[in-house]
Amino acid sequence: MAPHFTIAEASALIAARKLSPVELTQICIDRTEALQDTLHAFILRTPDRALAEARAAEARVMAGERRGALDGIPIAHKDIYCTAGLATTGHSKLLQDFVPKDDARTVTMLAEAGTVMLGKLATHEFAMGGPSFDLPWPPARNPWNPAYFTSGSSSGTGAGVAAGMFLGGTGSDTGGSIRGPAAFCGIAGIKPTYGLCSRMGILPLSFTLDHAGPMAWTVEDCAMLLQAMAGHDATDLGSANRPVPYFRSDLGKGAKGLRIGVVRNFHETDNRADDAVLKGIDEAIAFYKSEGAEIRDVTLPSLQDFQAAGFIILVTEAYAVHEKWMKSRYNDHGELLRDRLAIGGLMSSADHFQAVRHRRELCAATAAAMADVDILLTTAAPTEAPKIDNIPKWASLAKPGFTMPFNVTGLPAISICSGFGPSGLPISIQLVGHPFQEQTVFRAAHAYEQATEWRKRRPALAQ
Amino acid sequence: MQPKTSRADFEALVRRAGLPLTEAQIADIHGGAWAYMEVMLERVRGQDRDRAAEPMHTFKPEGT
Repeated sequence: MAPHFTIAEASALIAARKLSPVELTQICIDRTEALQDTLHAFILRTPDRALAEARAAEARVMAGERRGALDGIPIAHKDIYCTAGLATTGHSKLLQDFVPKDDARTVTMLAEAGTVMLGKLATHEFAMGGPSFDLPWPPARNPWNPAYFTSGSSSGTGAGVAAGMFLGGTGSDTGGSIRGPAAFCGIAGIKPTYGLCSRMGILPLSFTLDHAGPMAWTVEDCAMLLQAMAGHDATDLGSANRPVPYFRSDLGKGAKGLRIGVVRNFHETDNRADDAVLKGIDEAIAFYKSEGAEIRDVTLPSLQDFQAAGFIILVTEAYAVHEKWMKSRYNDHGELLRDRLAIGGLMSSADHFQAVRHRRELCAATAAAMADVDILLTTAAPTEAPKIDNIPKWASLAKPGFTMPFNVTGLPAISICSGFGPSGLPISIQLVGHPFQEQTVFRAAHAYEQATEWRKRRPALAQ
Repeated sequence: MQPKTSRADFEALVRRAGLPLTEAQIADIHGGAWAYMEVMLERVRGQDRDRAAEPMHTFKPEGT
């Protein structure tokens, strides 16, 4: 197969006129053609449109009018991001024929940056119900082994980036839907601070927990995509009105002097990670120590506390979004979504408000625990991916996840590959920063990524 | 894990919500999920919360 490029590599080659956006887009189209029937990353492919956009990008390059670092870079959007004139289904029968009139704000921003849009990507139904086999489209599969789960809900983005079907893409994260697929698919994915990226035009799941963000092969690529996605949007009531920094500013600064807090209670006690994941965390700690970072232990409230507040808020807000169809078209939803969402209809208003009160307590405790550190370190997932046909419906209730705490607190959090487990599937670490300190998160993650070999390995089927 | 809520009480919750669940769907959610939810609900209520403790998002008149 053709070579793989990171966004940073491709961007530099395009700028130097050594790589044509058309050639790059064609590589992605060809790779997708070869892998789509195995991975099901796409719901809708738009190769003709992509080639037209690539030709326009090429013309800008040749005219000396390149728009910036993302001009001519092929990406794709999770199919809960509205795209004007192009079906946006939420991977659901209920929206199978929905064609929005407007783009999501972040879709517009990425298009204005010159990205080339290859299509719409598989998700869990409405970003919550999956992996489901009773929907109009099959679930995406893990490119490291298609018998295994991608995690979700940004499943198509995770699978497609890892396989090199496109160089980066959009995800959304309400309880871990960017960082989970990033972890299982062995890529980088950042959930930015709440309010940094507009949610306008993205199908809502949970108003106060939803975050938009990028996923890509490397940390630097995530920083480049986030540059185009971040910024105030007056039409999004949760949008933060503050200047957008240059997210790559600290990438070369290394880890020296960073104060890193290891959240041992998460991965050693609350939901003990398996040996390979723990080894990956220990190796990351050893790396940061060797680089001159200051390491200390930090204790946060338990994962179970974050799960309780986060899930109750999520499921009640999501039920409010979907209540009409839950009552009138219950069985038109996939089984996983409808039965999980039904729980939201059974909560009382007091239940919801106790969760929201608990959220304030958890945010205060987290801020206090982080007062003397720059970065928190744990994992994004306690194991490698499980088999895709063996995901119990209520598994996420039985054991708390590692990502929800940072939806509850709104803090920026990135998942990056920290190696491979006994089944040859990726494992991860998760790095978390203070509000709107994405540069520090990128700095810490990039330093680790540059010092390891994990970015040199791609899934065998994509070689 | 077995839920503390009886099947009859759970069915009453479903009826109040107006959800058109089948018997099998009710049994699945009650038997498979509800015990976990009961633990979560207990947790968010806490033990020593001040009566005046505010929720995370509180109404602000200029915030519309």
